[in-house]
Amino acid sequence: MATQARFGFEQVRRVPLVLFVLLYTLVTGGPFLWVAAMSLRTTAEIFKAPYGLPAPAHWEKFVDAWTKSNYGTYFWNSTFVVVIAVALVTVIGAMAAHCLARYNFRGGRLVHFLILSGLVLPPQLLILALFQILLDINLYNTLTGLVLVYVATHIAMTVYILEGFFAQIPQDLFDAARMDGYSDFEIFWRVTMPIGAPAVFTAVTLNFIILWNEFLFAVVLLTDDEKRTLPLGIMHFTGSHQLDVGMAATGLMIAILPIIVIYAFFSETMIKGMTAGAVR
Amino acid sequence: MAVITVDKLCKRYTGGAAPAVSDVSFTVADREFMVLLGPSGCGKSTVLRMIAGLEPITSGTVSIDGRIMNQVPAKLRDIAMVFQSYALYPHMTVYENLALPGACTLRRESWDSRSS
Ligand SMILES: Nc1ncnc2c1ncn2[C@@H]1O[C@H](COP(=O)(O)OP(=O)(O)O)[C@@H](O)[C@H]1O
Ligand SMILES: [Mg+2]
Repeated sequence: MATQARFGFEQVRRVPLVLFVLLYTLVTGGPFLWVAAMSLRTTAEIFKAPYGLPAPAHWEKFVDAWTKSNYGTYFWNSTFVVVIAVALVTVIGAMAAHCLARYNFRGGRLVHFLILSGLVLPPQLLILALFQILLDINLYNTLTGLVLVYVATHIAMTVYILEGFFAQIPQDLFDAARMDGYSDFEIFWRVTMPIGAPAVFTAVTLNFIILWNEFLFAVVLLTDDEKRTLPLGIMHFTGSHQLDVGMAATGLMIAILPIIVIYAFFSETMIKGMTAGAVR
Repeated sequence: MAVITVDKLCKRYTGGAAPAVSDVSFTVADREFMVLLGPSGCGKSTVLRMIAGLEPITSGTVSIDGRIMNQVPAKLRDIAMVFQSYALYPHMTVYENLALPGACTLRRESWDSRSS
Protein backbone atom coordinates (compact mmCIF):
# COMPACT_ATOMS: atom_id res chain seq x y z
CA MET A 1 0.00 0.00 0.00
CA ALA A 2 2.69 2.45 1.05
CA THR A 3 4.79 1.80 -2.06
CA GLN A 4 1.74 2.19 -4.27
CA ALA A 5 0.92 5.55 -2.72
CA ARG A 6 4.49 6.71 -3.21
CA PHE A 7 4.49 5.49 -6.78
CA GLY A 8 1.37 7.54 -7.44
CA PHE A 9 2.95 10.60 -5.87
CA GLU A 10 6.09 10.17 -7.97
CA GLN A 11 3.97 10.14 -11.10
CA VAL A 12 2.06 13.24 -10.11
CA ARG A 13 5.32 14.96 -9.36
CA ARG A 14 6.50 14.19 -12.87
CA VAL A 15 3.50 15.72 -14.64
CA PRO A 16 4.84 19.29 -14.66
CA LEU A 17 8.20 18.06 -15.91
CA VAL A 18 6.68 16.03 -18.72
CA LEU A 19 4.42 18.97 -19.65
CA PHE A 20 7.41 21.26 -19.74
CA VAL A 21 9.43 18.89 -21.91
CA LEU A 22 6.49 18.45 -24.28
CA LEU A 23 6.01 22.20 -24.56
CA TYR A 24 9.73 22.73 -25.10
CA THR A 25 9.84 20.08 -27.82
CA LEU A 26 6.86 21.69 -29.51
CA VAL A 27 8.42 25.16 -29.37
CA THR A 28 11.79 24.03 -30.72
CA GLY A 29 10.76 21.16 -32.96
CA GLY A 30 7.61 22.77 -34.39
CA PRO A 31 9.27 25.51 -36.42
CA PHE A 32 11.84 23.01 -37.64
CA LEU A 33 9.18 20.62 -38.96
CA TRP A 34 7.32 23.57 -40.45
CA VAL A 35 10.41 24.71 -42.38
CA ALA A 36 11.09 21.10 -43.40
CA ALA A 37 7.54 20.87 -44.82
CA MET A 38 7.84 24.24 -46.58
CA SER A 39 11.16 23.29 -48.12
CA LEU A 40 9.28 20.70 -50.19
CA ARG A 41 6.45 23.03 -51.26
CA THR A 42 6.32 25.83 -53.80
CA THR A 43 5.82 29.41 -52.71
CA ALA A 44 2.35 29.46 -54.33
CA GLU A 45 1.31 26.38 -52.32
CA ILE A 46 2.66 27.92 -49.14
CA PHE A 47 0.70 31.16 -49.60
CA LYS A 48 -2.47 29.18 -50.23
CA ALA A 49 -2.10 27.01 -47.11
CA PRO A 50 0.85 28.00 -44.87
CA TYR A 51 0.61 24.96 -42.60
CA GLY A 52 -0.16 22.36 -45.25
CA LEU A 53 1.67 19.07 -45.64
CA PRO A 54 4.23 18.62 -48.42
CA ALA A 55 2.01 16.60 -50.75
CA PRO A 56 3.06 16.28 -53.48
CA ALA A 57 6.67 16.69 -52.30
CA HIS A 58 8.74 18.87 -54.63
CA TRP A 59 12.16 17.26 -54.11
CA GLU A 60 13.35 18.98 -57.27
CA LYS A 61 13.41 22.25 -55.30
CA PHE A 62 16.66 21.11 -53.70
CA VAL A 63 18.18 20.62 -57.14
CA ASP A 64 16.88 24.03 -58.25
CA ALA A 65 18.23 25.69 -55.13
CA TRP A 66 21.62 24.14 -55.69
CA THR A 67 21.92 24.86 -59.40
CA LYS A 68 19.68 27.87 -60.20
CA SER A 69 19.62 29.82 -56.96
CA ASN A 70 23.35 29.86 -56.21
CA TYR A 71 23.01 27.84 -53.00
CA GLY A 72 25.84 25.62 -54.23
CA THR A 73 28.19 28.61 -54.18
CA TYR A 74 26.94 29.75 -50.77
CA PHE A 75 27.33 26.25 -49.39
CA TRP A 76 30.95 25.91 -50.53
CA ASN A 77 31.76 29.43 -49.33
CA SER A 78 30.39 28.53 -45.91
CA THR A 79 32.24 25.24 -45.89
CA PHE A 80 35.52 26.89 -46.87
CA VAL A 81 35.26 29.65 -44.29
CA VAL A 82 34.00 27.51 -41.42
CA VAL A 83 36.29 24.51 -41.89
CA ILE A 84 39.43 26.64 -42.10
CA ALA A 85 38.35 28.95 -39.27
CA VAL A 86 37.46 26.03 -36.98
CA ALA A 87 40.73 24.24 -37.75
CA LEU A 88 42.77 27.36 -37.01
CA VAL A 89 40.84 28.37 -33.92
CA THR A 90 41.12 24.84 -32.52
CA VAL A 91 44.86 24.48 -33.04
CA ILE A 92 45.75 28.00 -31.89
CA GLY A 93 43.28 27.91 -29.02
CA ALA A 94 44.51 24.50 -27.85
CA MET A 95 48.13 25.68 -27.88
CA ALA A 96 47.22 28.76 -25.87
CA ALA A 97 45.09 26.74 -23.44
CA HIS A 98 47.90 24.20 -22.95
CA CYS A 99 50.44 26.92 -22.16
CA LEU A 100 48.09 28.77 -19.82
CA ALA A 101 47.16 25.55 -18.01
CA ARG A 102 50.70 24.07 -17.77
CA TYR A 103 53.33 26.77 -17.57
CA ASN A 104 53.93 29.49 -15.03
CA PHE A 105 55.43 32.32 -17.00
CA ARG A 106 55.78 36.03 -16.45
CA GLY A 107 52.66 37.85 -17.58
CA GLY A 108 50.69 34.61 -17.78
CA ARG A 109 47.88 36.00 -15.69
CA LEU A 110 47.68 39.09 -17.89
CA VAL A 111 47.60 37.06 -21.11
CA HIS A 112 44.91 34.87 -19.59
CA PHE A 113 42.84 37.90 -18.64
CA LEU A 114 43.26 39.56 -22.04
CA ILE A 115 42.23 36.43 -23.97
CA LEU A 116 39.22 35.67 -21.79
CA SER A 117 38.06 39.29 -21.79
CA GLY A 118 37.13 38.57 -25.41
CA LEU A 119 34.25 36.53 -23.99
CA VAL A 120 32.42 39.59 -22.72
CA LEU A 121 32.83 41.79 -25.80
CA PRO A 122 29.59 42.08 -27.76
CA PRO A 123 30.36 41.48 -31.46
CA GLN A 124 28.53 44.65 -32.50
CA LEU A 125 31.24 46.62 -30.71
CA LEU A 126 33.92 45.27 -33.04
CA ILE A 127 32.16 45.77 -36.35
CA LEU A 128 33.34 49.29 -37.19
CA ALA A 129 36.94 48.63 -36.19
CA LEU A 130 37.03 45.34 -38.09
CA PHE A 131 35.57 46.98 -41.18
CA GLN A 132 38.27 49.66 -41.13
CA ILE A 133 41.12 47.22 -40.42
CA LEU A 134 40.07 44.83 -43.17
CA LEU A 135 39.83 47.74 -45.62
CA ASP A 136 43.34 48.85 -44.66
CA ILE A 137 44.88 45.42 -45.20
CA ASN A 138 42.90 44.77 -48.41
CA LEU A 139 40.91 41.89 -46.93
CA TYR A 140 37.51 43.57 -46.92
CA ASN A 141 34.99 41.58 -48.97
CA THR A 142 37.20 38.46 -49.02
CA LEU A 143 36.62 35.04 -47.50
CA THR A 144 40.16 35.12 -46.07
CA GLY A 145 39.28 38.26 -44.14
CA LEU A 146 36.15 36.62 -42.76
CA VAL A 147 38.17 33.56 -41.70
CA LEU A 148 40.59 35.80 -39.76
CA VAL A 149 37.72 37.62 -38.08
CA TYR A 150 36.09 34.32 -37.08
CA VAL A 151 39.33 32.97 -35.63
CA ALA A 152 39.95 36.16 -33.66
CA THR A 153 36.43 36.42 -32.26
CA HIS A 154 36.13 32.76 -31.25
CA ILE A 155 39.55 32.18 -29.72
CA ALA A 156 38.32 33.34 -26.29
CA MET A 157 35.55 30.75 -25.96
CA THR A 158 37.84 28.03 -27.32
CA VAL A 159 40.59 28.78 -24.81
CA TYR A 160 38.02 28.97 -22.03
CA ILE A 161 36.61 25.51 -22.79
CA LEU A 162 39.97 23.84 -23.38
CA GLU A 163 41.92 25.38 -20.54
CA GLY A 164 39.44 24.20 -17.93
CA PHE A 165 39.77 20.65 -19.18
CA PHE A 166 43.54 20.69 -19.77
CA ALA A 167 44.17 22.00 -16.26
CA GLN A 168 42.53 18.89 -14.82
CA ILE A 169 45.03 16.50 -16.43
CA PRO A 170 47.38 15.40 -13.61
CA GLN A 171 50.76 17.17 -13.59
CA ASP A 172 52.54 13.84 -12.95
CA LEU A 173 51.64 12.77 -16.47
CA PHE A 174 53.51 15.75 -17.91
CA ASP A 175 56.52 15.20 -15.65
CA ALA A 176 56.64 11.57 -16.74
CA ALA A 177 56.48 12.64 -20.39
CA ARG A 178 59.33 15.09 -19.83
CA MET A 179 61.52 12.39 -18.27
CA ASP A 180 60.58 9.93 -21.01
CA GLY A 181 62.01 12.37 -23.50
CA TYR A 182 59.10 14.20 -25.09
CA SER A 183 59.81 17.77 -26.17
CA ASP A 184 57.49 20.57 -25.10
CA PHE A 185 55.66 20.45 -28.40
CA GLU A 186 55.32 16.65 -28.24
CA ILE A 187 53.90 16.94 -24.73
CA PHE A 188 51.24 19.23 -26.18
CA TRP A 189 50.57 17.15 -29.27
CA ARG A 190 50.94 13.60 -27.90
CA VAL A 191 49.74 14.00 -24.30
CA THR A 192 47.48 17.04 -23.89
CA MET A 193 45.63 16.72 -27.20
CA PRO A 194 44.73 12.97 -27.04
CA ILE A 195 43.76 13.11 -23.37
CA GLY A 196 41.87 16.36 -23.88
CA ALA A 197 40.04 14.99 -26.94
CA PRO A 198 36.52 15.25 -25.42
CA ALA A 199 37.07 18.95 -24.77
CA VAL A 200 38.58 19.44 -28.21
CA PHE A 201 35.52 17.81 -29.81
CA THR A 202 33.29 20.09 -27.76
CA ALA A 203 35.15 23.16 -28.95
CA VAL A 204 35.12 21.99 -32.58
CA THR A 205 31.38 21.23 -32.56
CA LEU A 206 30.35 24.42 -30.77
CA ASN A 207 32.53 26.60 -32.99
CA PHE A 208 31.29 24.84 -36.11
CA ILE A 209 27.62 25.35 -35.22
CA ILE A 210 28.09 28.96 -34.18
CA LEU A 211 30.20 29.93 -37.21
CA TRP A 212 28.00 28.05 -39.67
CA ASN A 213 25.10 30.26 -38.57
CA GLU A 214 27.12 33.45 -38.20
CA PHE A 215 25.37 36.40 -39.81
CA LEU A 216 26.49 39.74 -38.43
CA PHE A 217 30.17 39.75 -39.44
CA ALA A 218 29.40 38.09 -42.78
CA VAL A 219 26.73 40.62 -43.76
CA VAL A 220 28.97 43.58 -42.94
CA LEU A 221 32.27 42.24 -44.28
CA LEU A 222 31.10 40.60 -47.55
CA THR A 223 29.37 42.36 -50.43
CA ASP A 224 29.78 40.26 -53.60
CA ASP A 225 27.06 37.73 -54.30
CA GLU A 226 29.61 35.01 -55.22
CA LYS A 227 31.25 35.44 -51.81
CA ARG A 228 28.11 35.13 -49.68
CA THR A 229 27.90 32.46 -47.00
CA LEU A 230 24.72 30.42 -46.48
CA PRO A 231 23.00 32.65 -43.88
CA LEU A 232 23.39 35.65 -46.23
CA GLY A 233 22.22 33.65 -49.22
CA ILE A 234 19.04 32.67 -47.42
CA MET A 235 18.33 36.22 -46.36
CA HIS A 236 18.61 37.28 -49.99
CA PHE A 237 15.40 35.37 -50.78
CA THR A 238 13.33 37.24 -48.25
CA GLY A 239 14.95 40.60 -48.87
CA SER A 240 13.71 43.72 -50.59
CA HIS A 241 14.11 42.28 -54.09
CA GLN A 242 11.91 39.23 -53.78
CA LEU A 243 9.88 37.20 -51.33
CA ASP A 244 10.40 33.58 -52.26
CA VAL A 245 9.46 31.89 -48.99
CA GLY A 246 9.58 28.43 -50.51
CA MET A 247 13.12 28.83 -51.80
CA ALA A 248 14.25 30.37 -48.51
CA ALA A 249 12.89 27.31 -46.70
CA THR A 250 14.76 24.98 -49.05
CA GLY A 251 17.92 26.99 -48.42
CA LEU A 252 17.36 26.78 -44.68
CA MET A 253 17.13 23.00 -44.88
CA ILE A 254 20.36 22.84 -46.90
CA ALA A 255 22.00 24.97 -44.22
CA ILE A 256 20.58 22.98 -41.30
CA LEU A 257 21.42 19.48 -42.52
CA PRO A 258 25.21 19.59 -41.92
CA ILE A 259 24.58 20.83 -38.38
CA ILE A 260 22.23 17.94 -37.67
CA VAL A 261 24.75 15.45 -39.03
CA ILE A 262 27.57 16.92 -36.94
CA TYR A 263 25.43 17.07 -33.84
CA ALA A 264 24.30 13.48 -34.29
CA PHE A 265 27.92 12.34 -34.47
CA PHE A 266 29.41 14.44 -31.73
CA SER A 267 26.64 15.26 -29.25
CA GLU A 268 27.62 12.54 -26.78
CA THR A 269 31.32 13.43 -26.72
CA MET A 270 30.34 17.05 -26.60
CA ILE A 271 28.12 16.71 -23.54
CA LYS A 272 30.86 14.68 -21.86
CA GLY A 273 33.32 17.45 -22.58
CA MET A 274 31.02 20.19 -21.35
CA THR A 275 30.15 18.53 -18.07
CA ALA A 276 33.75 17.44 -17.49
CA GLY A 277 34.79 21.05 -17.76
CA ALA A 278 32.06 22.13 -15.42
CA VAL A 279 32.67 19.87 -12.41
CA ARG A 280 36.15 21.13 -11.70
CA MET B 1 74.49 2.00 -11.98
CA ALA B 2 75.97 5.21 -10.71
CA VAL B 3 76.81 7.44 -7.76
CA ILE B 4 74.48 10.35 -7.02
CA THR B 5 75.88 13.27 -5.05
CA VAL B 6 73.70 16.09 -3.80
CA ASP B 7 75.61 19.07 -2.43
CA LYS B 8 74.13 22.03 -0.47
CA LEU B 9 70.95 21.78 -2.49
CA CYS B 10 68.47 24.64 -2.03
CA LYS B 11 65.09 25.32 -3.58
CA ARG B 12 62.93 28.38 -3.25
CA TYR B 13 59.71 28.31 -5.28
CA THR B 14 58.79 31.63 -6.85
CA GLY B 15 56.33 33.25 -4.49
CA GLY B 16 57.16 30.79 -1.71
CA ALA B 17 57.84 32.47 1.64
CA ALA B 18 60.30 29.95 3.12
CA PRO B 19 62.65 27.78 1.07
CA ALA B 20 61.13 24.36 0.30
CA VAL B 21 64.57 22.71 0.55
CA SER B 22 67.60 24.27 2.21
CA ASP B 23 71.17 23.00 2.33
CA VAL B 24 70.60 19.30 1.68
CA SER B 25 73.73 17.20 1.11
CA PHE B 26 74.04 13.43 0.74
CA THR B 27 75.65 10.77 -1.41
CA VAL B 28 73.99 7.64 -2.74
CA ALA B 29 76.61 4.99 -3.50
CA ASP B 30 76.42 2.58 -6.43
CA ARG B 31 73.81 -0.12 -5.71
CA GLU B 32 72.87 1.59 -2.43
CA PHE B 33 69.19 1.59 -1.50
CA MET B 34 68.41 4.97 0.00
CA VAL B 35 65.21 6.07 1.75
CA LEU B 36 64.25 9.69 2.43
CA LEU B 37 61.88 9.97 5.38
CA GLY B 38 60.13 13.02 6.71
CA PRO B 39 56.80 14.62 7.51
CA SER B 40 54.56 15.76 4.71
CA GLY B 41 55.71 19.02 3.15
CA CYS B 42 59.33 18.78 4.32
CA GLY B 43 60.67 18.75 0.79
CA LYS B 44 61.21 15.08 -0.15
CA SER B 45 59.42 15.35 -3.49
CA THR B 46 61.16 18.62 -4.27
CA VAL B 47 64.60 17.01 -3.75
CA LEU B 48 63.67 14.09 -6.00
CA ARG B 49 62.28 16.42 -8.66
CA MET B 50 65.51 18.41 -8.66
CA ILE B 51 67.57 15.22 -9.01
CA ALA B 52 65.33 14.13 -11.89
CA GLY B 53 65.58 17.52 -13.57
CA LEU B 54 61.90 18.42 -13.35
CA GLU B 55 62.49 21.43 -11.12
CA PRO B 56 65.16 24.11 -11.58
CA ILE B 57 67.75 24.20 -8.76
CA THR B 58 68.01 27.45 -6.80
CA SER B 59 71.52 26.73 -5.50
CA GLY B 60 73.80 23.78 -4.80
CA THR B 61 74.59 20.93 -7.17
CA VAL B 62 73.30 17.53 -8.23
CA SER B 63 75.95 15.25 -9.75
CA ILE B 64 75.74 11.79 -11.22
CA ASP B 65 79.05 9.92 -11.44
CA GLY B 66 80.88 13.18 -10.70
CA ARG B 67 79.26 15.10 -13.53
CA ILE B 68 77.25 18.14 -12.44
CA MET B 69 73.73 17.75 -13.80
CA ASN B 70 72.19 21.14 -12.90
CA GLN B 71 71.83 22.26 -16.52
CA VAL B 72 71.18 18.83 -18.07
CA PRO B 73 67.54 18.39 -19.19
CA ALA B 74 65.52 15.60 -17.55
CA LYS B 75 65.43 13.38 -20.62
CA LEU B 76 69.24 13.25 -20.85
CA ARG B 77 69.82 12.27 -17.20
CA ASP B 78 68.81 8.63 -17.73
CA ILE B 79 66.77 8.53 -14.55
CA ALA B 80 63.57 6.60 -13.89
CA MET B 81 60.96 7.88 -11.47
CA VAL B 82 57.71 6.55 -10.07
CA PHE B 83 55.22 9.29 -9.42
CA GLN B 84 52.72 9.64 -6.61
CA SER B 85 49.85 9.15 -9.07
CA TYR B 86 50.35 6.42 -11.64
CA ALA B 87 51.11 8.71 -14.58
CA LEU B 88 50.26 6.15 -17.25
CA TYR B 89 49.28 7.56 -20.64
CA PRO B 90 45.60 6.54 -20.88
CA HIS B 91 45.48 6.80 -24.68
CA MET B 92 48.38 4.39 -25.21
CA THR B 93 48.60 0.62 -24.93
CA VAL B 94 50.62 -1.03 -22.15
CA TYR B 95 53.36 -1.72 -24.68
CA GLU B 96 53.46 1.89 -25.83
CA ASN B 97 53.54 3.12 -22.24
CA LEU B 98 56.54 0.95 -21.46
CA ALA B 99 58.33 1.51 -24.75
CA LEU B 100 58.08 5.31 -24.82
CA PRO B 101 61.33 6.23 -22.99
CA GLY B 102 63.31 3.74 -25.08
CA ALA B 103 61.69 4.97 -28.28
CA CYS B 104 62.60 8.56 -27.43
CA THR B 105 66.21 7.60 -26.65
CA LEU B 106 66.53 5.66 -29.91
CA ARG B 107 65.16 8.57 -31.87
CA ARG B 108 67.55 10.97 -30.14
CA GLU B 109 70.54 8.73 -30.85
CA SER B 110 69.65 8.34 -34.53
CA TRP B 111 69.37 12.14 -34.76
CA ASP B 112 72.77 12.55 -33.10
CA SER B 113 74.45 10.06 -35.41
CA ARG B 114 72.89 11.70 -38.45
CA SER B 115 73.95 15.23 -37.49
CA SER B 116 77.53 14.26 -36.56
N1 LIG C 1 55.07 23.96 -7.21
C1 LIG C 1 55.21 24.49 -5.98
N2 LIG C 1 55.11 25.83 -5.80
C2 LIG C 1 55.26 26.36 -4.57
N3 LIG C 1 55.50 25.67 -3.46
C3 LIG C 1 55.64 24.33 -3.56
C4 LIG C 1 55.49 23.66 -4.82
N4 LIG C 1 55.65 22.34 -4.63
C5 LIG C 1 55.89 22.18 -3.30
N5 LIG C 1 55.87 23.36 -2.66
C6 LIG C 1 56.15 23.58 -1.21
O1 LIG C 1 57.42 23.08 -0.93
C7 LIG C 1 57.40 22.38 0.30
C8 LIG C 1 57.94 20.96 0.11
O2 LIG C 1 57.01 20.22 -0.70
P1 LIG C 1 57.25 18.71 -1.12
O3 LIG C 1 58.62 18.59 -1.64
O4 LIG C 1 56.14 18.33 -2.02
O5 LIG C 1 57.09 17.96 0.26
P2 LIG C 1 57.00 16.39 0.56
O6 LIG C 1 57.11 15.66 -0.74
O7 LIG C 1 58.13 16.11 1.48
O8 LIG C 1 55.68 16.18 1.22
C9 LIG C 1 55.98 22.39 0.83
O9 LIG C 1 55.88 23.41 1.80
C10 LIG C 1 55.16 22.78 -0.38
O10 LIG C 1 54.06 23.57 0.00
MG1 LIG D 1 55.73 14.43 -1.71
